[in-house]
Amino acid sequence: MTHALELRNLKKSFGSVEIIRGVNLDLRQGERHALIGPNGAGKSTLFHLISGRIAPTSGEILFQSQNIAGKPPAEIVRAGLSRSFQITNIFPQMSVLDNLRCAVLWKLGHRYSIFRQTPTLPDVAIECERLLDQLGLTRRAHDTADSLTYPEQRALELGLAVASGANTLLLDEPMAGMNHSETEAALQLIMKVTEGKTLLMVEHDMGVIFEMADRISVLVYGQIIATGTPQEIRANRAVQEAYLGTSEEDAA
Amino acid sequence: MSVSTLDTPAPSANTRLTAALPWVAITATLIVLPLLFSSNSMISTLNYLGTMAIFALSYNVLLGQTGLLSLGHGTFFGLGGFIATHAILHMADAGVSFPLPLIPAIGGFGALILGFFGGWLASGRGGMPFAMITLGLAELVYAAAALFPSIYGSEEGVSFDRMDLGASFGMDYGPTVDIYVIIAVWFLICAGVLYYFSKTPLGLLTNAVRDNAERIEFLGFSARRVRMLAYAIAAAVAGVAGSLAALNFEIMTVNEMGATTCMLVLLMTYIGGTKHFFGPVLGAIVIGLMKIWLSDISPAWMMYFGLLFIFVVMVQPAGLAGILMDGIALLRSGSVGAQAPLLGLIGLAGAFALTGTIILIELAYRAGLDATLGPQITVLGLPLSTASVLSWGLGLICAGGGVIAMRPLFDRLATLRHSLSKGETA
Amino acid sequence: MSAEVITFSLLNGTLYGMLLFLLASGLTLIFSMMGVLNFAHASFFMLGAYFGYEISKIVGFFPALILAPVLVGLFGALIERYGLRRVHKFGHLGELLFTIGVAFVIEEAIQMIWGRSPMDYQVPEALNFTAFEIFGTGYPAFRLFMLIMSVAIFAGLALLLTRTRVGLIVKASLTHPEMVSMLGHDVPLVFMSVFGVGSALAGVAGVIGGPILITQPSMAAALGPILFVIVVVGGLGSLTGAFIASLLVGFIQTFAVAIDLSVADVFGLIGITQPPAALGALVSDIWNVSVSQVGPVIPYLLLVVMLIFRPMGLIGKRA
Ligand SMILES: Nc1ncnc2c1ncn2[C@@H]1O[C@H](COP(=O)(O)OP(=O)(O)OP(=O)(O)O)[C@@H](O)[C@H]1O
Ligand SMILES: [Mg+2]
Repeated sequence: MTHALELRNLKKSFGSVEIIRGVNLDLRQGERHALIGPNGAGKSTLFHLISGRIAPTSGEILFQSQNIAGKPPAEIVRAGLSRSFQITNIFPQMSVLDNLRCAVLWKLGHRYSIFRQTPTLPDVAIECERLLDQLGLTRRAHDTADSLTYPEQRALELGLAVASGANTLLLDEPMAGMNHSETEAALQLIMKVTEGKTLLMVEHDMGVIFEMADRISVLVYGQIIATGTPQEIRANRAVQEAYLGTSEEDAA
Repeated sequence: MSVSTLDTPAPSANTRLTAALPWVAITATLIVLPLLFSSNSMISTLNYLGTMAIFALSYNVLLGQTGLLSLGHGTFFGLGGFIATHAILHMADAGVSFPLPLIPAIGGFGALILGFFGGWLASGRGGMPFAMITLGLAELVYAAAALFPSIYGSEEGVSFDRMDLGASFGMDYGPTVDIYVIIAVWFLICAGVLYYFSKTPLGLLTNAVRDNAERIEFLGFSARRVRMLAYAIAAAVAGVAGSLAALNFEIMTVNEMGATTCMLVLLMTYIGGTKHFFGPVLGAIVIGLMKIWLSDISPAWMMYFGLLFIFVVMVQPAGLAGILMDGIALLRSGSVGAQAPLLGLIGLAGAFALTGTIILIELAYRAGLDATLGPQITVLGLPLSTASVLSWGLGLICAGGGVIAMRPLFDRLATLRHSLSKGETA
Repeated sequence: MSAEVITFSLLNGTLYGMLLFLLASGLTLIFSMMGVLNFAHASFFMLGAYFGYEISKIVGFFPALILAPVLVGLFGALIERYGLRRVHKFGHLGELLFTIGVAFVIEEAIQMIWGRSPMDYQVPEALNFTAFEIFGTGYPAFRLFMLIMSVAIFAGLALLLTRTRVGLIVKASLTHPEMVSMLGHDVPLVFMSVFGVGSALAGVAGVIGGPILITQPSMAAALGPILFVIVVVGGLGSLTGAFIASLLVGFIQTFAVAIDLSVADVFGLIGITQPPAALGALVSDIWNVSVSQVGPVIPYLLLVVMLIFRPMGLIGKRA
């Protein structure tokens, strides 16, 4: 199979309100897939379901052909799927370097070790150095995460997701709240660090999406209304209706 | 690649030396202390402070490192002590020869096992639920102890003779100073192990759990597992401390694992400072000395603890160690001279507030609890009377004036601190 | 067990349970509202008992029943305004530590003022008679009064929260503090009031509980942990859960005292009257344990069992 991730009729209700209403989505191995949709469509909720933050009400999430629906987040990460958060979710009191160290410990096999000091682990040092360099945070390595600027914190947020070594990444609005030049820099950074990985990314900036995405899915009101290449999506009637408002509704 | 900004796999000889310096100083202090204070009662005091320091260090694994407020840490102190006590009694009975200094390892190991079980129960969530559950577990053990007099003794506890295991390492463990040696060595071991632990991957993960427990789940780790391991390690070291306390006093009572002990270790650790590795040691020494000396001269010593604790919680969350570190930062910055007026004023206002508070509390205790001792009382050398408006007025004016004068000064101090911490990172 | 013992245990269990709920409800209210576990809650209960004792000496029990809780409530509001609110910036841990400090100081202050021995806080004359007789044994009117008071407060609280505008604002402040403050309500004031009312409830429990439970400086430390058990077992933040757990603990404790049975009795039934000596001292300890001795342990056992099988509590939300 070439599908990294498959969602099968996924549903989630909070109380009596159904927020995710039967989502079907395939993510091809190695593709960059953008997830777009209006505010409140359920994009973040969908990410929470896939990454194990919340359990779906029904449906299947097949990752590398295994059903991961309802599994705890740690297991899903270990299987090779990691994510970043829309609202920055890092370790504020710890240094940038320590943030990244935490993120690489599992994949390097150190886990909950108590037999070596972290700073003396050569593989951790090398990996963190590489990440810091990629993220452009080398000069900030020893500053606490909460002292970083907003774009730097977003870079670290991205770094935590990437550092865990997963081959499939879910990025939730990695450029939210950035100005134009910051967005451009962040996009380059994302392209660089996700080289060769499968990517599902929520983003609102259409310029960014058309520049980077191989395919786009449009989530509206808890359902995927269209999936296709940027050109196909641009031409899709349903998408235009969802975003621009429908002429039929206006007439009615 | 700028290697210099990162911890390199092989630290230079220079940084190694700086890292070793505190340990050399501590070892030297531990050697010199009994020579300076050689009287039996002083050695006894040192022994008490040593056990409390180990106990507080273990507690900070939870509070400072993992961000977990345990209200039942005294349980493991007590259980460790009882395990050690019974180990000694049984081995002495059976005629087994076992070196007394290794007894705390048994107490610590027992507490470790129990800590795993307790941790498994308590560590599902952090924060408030953790605090309540640890309290519940502590109360369970304490209440259940009454059902097992053969283990926990009755009211008088379980006593033993530490010389029963015979001599080893060239000591017969009769004199208090022999126990001092044991405690000092165990202090170095425990502090060393815990310091090492704080630098290991698990140690790093405990900090991560403190900062953002949810996030580490998305990095492949279980926050629950980290909490449980931290809990067990803290329990083990508390067990060592409890065993040492048992060796020191040759008796263990159920009270040692009651709410008072649980509270005491929280007070010591927090007042000492949770953000610095040796903060808890400082707290254990200060509170331990206060407990020993203050209880002799004032009926209000518990009240002073409580107020000191509230003061630290409200205005100095970094604890005494934080004040010390600020002082060092100030010295390093070389601006002590420029800041002398501010510091002097703060000292003056503080002295007034403190004097006033002490006067009021001592008067209140004499008027209430100790009314039978008569209205005349000497506080800080001042002859006062609970019947005199003047006495109360003096206390009120000092305390009120000091506190009012303190507030603008504290704002200035906060600014100074801020600039100091900025200067340090730059 | 005779029907008489069962009836009285049921009555007393309900009574004790309702008293516990008076306390647990305030604690739960404050917890779900502010996220703060008020460690000093049992201390407010103790203050209620002492204030009640002192005030009823001067103006009598019934005025004290109003005045003492009001005082405790005001005291609680002050603690919130000038203490808790300031440590809010240090997070929930700082807040919990602060309330621990407050509990510590209150206990000391009470010893400072009233001494270490129990107070002679008696059931008021007006209620010192037998309310009714069953099985030839009288049931004291004061206990009945306590029961009625607790139920009345419970009902009043439930009505206040579900039927009035105040209740709406309080509940909304819980979930959407920013929105409520946007709508022009003073959220800090709401918090302070809730803390004050919660404390006052503890105060009421103190005034009516003082004469039955002994009014002494250790009463807070004895009751505090039980309260936390109730709140955890009931499910953090759930009033209904706290209610069920309060009654559960109330019944467990009163029935345990009433059941006159020990492990030795059980073995006696099957003809074993002596513990096998070979099994050692520990077994003989267990041999001699009676149900009434186990009573104080059971709530904590309940907690452990709950944690293993249903960590979210009786009425808790799933994690
Ligand atoms: N825990 C929850 N309980 C109830 N409703 C929820 C919960 N989480 C999300 N929702 C609702 O689900 C809907 C979708 O939210 P979600 O955050 O997934 O949207 P989104 O597409 O990510 O929007 P945005 O572009 O603003 O990030 C919203 O209406 C939100 O109010
Ligand atoms: Mg979103």
